[in-house]
Amino acid sequence: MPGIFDILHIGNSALGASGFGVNATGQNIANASTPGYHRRTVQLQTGTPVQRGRLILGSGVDVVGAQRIASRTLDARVRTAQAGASASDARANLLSRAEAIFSDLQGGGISASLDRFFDSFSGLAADPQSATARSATLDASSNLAGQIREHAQQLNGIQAELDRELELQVREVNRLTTELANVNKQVLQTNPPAPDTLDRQSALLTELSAKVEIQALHQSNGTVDVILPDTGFSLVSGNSPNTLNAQASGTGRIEVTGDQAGFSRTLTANLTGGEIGGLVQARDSDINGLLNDLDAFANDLASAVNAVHSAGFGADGVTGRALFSVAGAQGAAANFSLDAAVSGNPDALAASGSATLTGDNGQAILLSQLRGSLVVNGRTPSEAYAGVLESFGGKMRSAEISAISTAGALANVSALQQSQSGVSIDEEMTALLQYRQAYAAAAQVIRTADELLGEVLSLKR
Amino acid sequence: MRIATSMLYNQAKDNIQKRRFESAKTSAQIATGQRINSLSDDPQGVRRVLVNESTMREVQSMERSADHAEHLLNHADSALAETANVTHRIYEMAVQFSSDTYSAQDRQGAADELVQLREQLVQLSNAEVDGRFIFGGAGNAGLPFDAAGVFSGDAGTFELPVGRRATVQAGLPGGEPFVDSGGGPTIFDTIDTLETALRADNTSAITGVIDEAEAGSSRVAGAQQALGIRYERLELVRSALSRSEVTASATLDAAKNTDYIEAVSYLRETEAGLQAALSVTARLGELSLTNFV
Repeated sequence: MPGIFDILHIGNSALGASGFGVNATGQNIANASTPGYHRRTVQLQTGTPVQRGRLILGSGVDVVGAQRIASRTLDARVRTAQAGASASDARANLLSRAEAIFSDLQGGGISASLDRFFDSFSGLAADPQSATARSATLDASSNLAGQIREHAQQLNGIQAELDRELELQVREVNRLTTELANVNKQVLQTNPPAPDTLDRQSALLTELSAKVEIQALHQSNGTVDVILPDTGFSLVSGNSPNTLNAQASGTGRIEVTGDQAGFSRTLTANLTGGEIGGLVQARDSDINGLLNDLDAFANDLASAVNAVHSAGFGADGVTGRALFSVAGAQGAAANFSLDAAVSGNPDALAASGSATLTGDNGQAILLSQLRGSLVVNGRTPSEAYAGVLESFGGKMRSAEISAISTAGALANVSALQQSQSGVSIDEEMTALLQYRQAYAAAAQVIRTADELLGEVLSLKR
Repeated sequence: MRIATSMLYNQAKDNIQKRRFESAKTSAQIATGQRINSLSDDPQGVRRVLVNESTMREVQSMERSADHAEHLLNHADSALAETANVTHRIYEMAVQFSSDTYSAQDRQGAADELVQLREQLVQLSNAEVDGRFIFGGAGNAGLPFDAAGVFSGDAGTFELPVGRRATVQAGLPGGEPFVDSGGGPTIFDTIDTLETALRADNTSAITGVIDEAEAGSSRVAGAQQALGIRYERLELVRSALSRSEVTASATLDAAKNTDYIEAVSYLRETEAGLQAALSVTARLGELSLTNFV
């Protein structure tokens, strides 16, 4: 024969279970948009039965706890996708920054200056003795030199900006790894690890993946070690972070270094993925490539122009003067300027092919016809320059396409992960209705037990 | 598949973003009239645009050179026309005054006229356009002929660039036709000889000058013919230039300019898509259990 107190106990456990259910549901709803949050489901089991004589009675419900619905595999795939998407997005954005300095499509820039330069020599050919034509040609030459120089210098400036951004990003990585190490410490404080701590851990890992591609090694005690995938360089080991350094190297660029087993090693090229990976690729591969292309263009152009110019004669009858100076093939674009012998001296422009005939225009014709000569890497100067922009545009295009496709991949794998671990408001609302009804029913059980108890007590009167 | 609430919103956000991006891009193509507004829009198109724009500017520059060449040739032509009148008159005078029907006084008068003609010829031979002496050769080093008719220019021909490898001759070899490139007497020498003969009333000497005067006159006619050939060549160059301009312009137009019909209909399409995405997103909240309990 079950006692009334058994019934009260059942009612009580039912109240507790429903209350716990509402609590867990509330937590789910509250964190529906929290990064790293994995939904909880309430785990219930029937209470341990008790034997009263021949009868085996139920003892209500036991709350086992709230289960955190998580898949490490899916979480890891989200992180990989995140690293890829952040890298492509960062690269595409940074390349647009470099693109912004080129105004060629708007009818300006080096293309227009290059044409003006050759036009000016055609103009000089028409009237080689005119002071106006000479100074116009000198202006056009100086303008071309200035355009090439400024473009290269602005690209160098962007690389320097990226250096500073890399420093900030490395600081951010260090903050995240330090926090992850702290979270690892917190994980060990409860057994099993608190689900909220694991959520924080998961959120930090994803945040870190947006900075740089990592590999997370989950330990059996719930902590996570973090390494860089290619090198195995450890970023977090247990509760100690291994911070990275950003420092100026011999090349003048900021490089990322880290200490491993007492050795300092340069990691810049190993940081593939994440915003840092995108930044490094943009800085060291794309923009550097563009600068090298510009250097090659500038160097070939200067050699071709100088070869013709130095064979000609200025209005003063002097020959052998170069028109441009580039100070070496490396950095030719950034140093592109009028040669000191010509700068500020329009009479030094070698329009004439003859020492004595100052009114001759033979050399001006040859200089103006360089525009149609295959003097820059087997192409005409303007074709070669258009080729430089085509190749950079191609890189931008591939970065943009990759940004779109990696963002799509991230959306897909995130959807898979969310499908499993994400909170569904409708589902939670249903659960809320269910628990509310169960709570009311449990209260009714207690009320009934109370009435039974009242009946029993009234027997004594 | 279980649908988490965040999936719905993320998807909605992504869709709107994508549609906005597409419609912004198409709007820019319409507003700027340019199909390519960024290097990444169409890298090969960028090259085509830049190369053809450069070709257009190159052709325009060459057309300016051709215009200038024509300008110089026109001046040379009119100077030659006057020169031809003068040299013809000199030839006529040599023929006329070699005849015995004229008196010594007539010949004196003719010699005086000859002095006038000589001065006119010196002026013509030093004709100048925009600082360039038409008959001075390529070097343009000062007055080509002094008062005595001695040539001090060079034998070069002034040329102008009208193509990647092509030039046109914008004049005649220096000194011609006043100077005989074969080394014979200049027109001024002939005039001097004729004047001396006239003043000396020496008909046989005058007769001796006729051939020389005829040669001078025919040199001028030859020079006029040579100019005609240069004009013809200039016309050929011009038509080649305008053909390249048309080709470059057509290629440029195709590579650079927005196809408005296509762009506008695409914009309509993306806008309709955007509208649909927006209205679906706005309704996401309506279809929730929260609205029914």
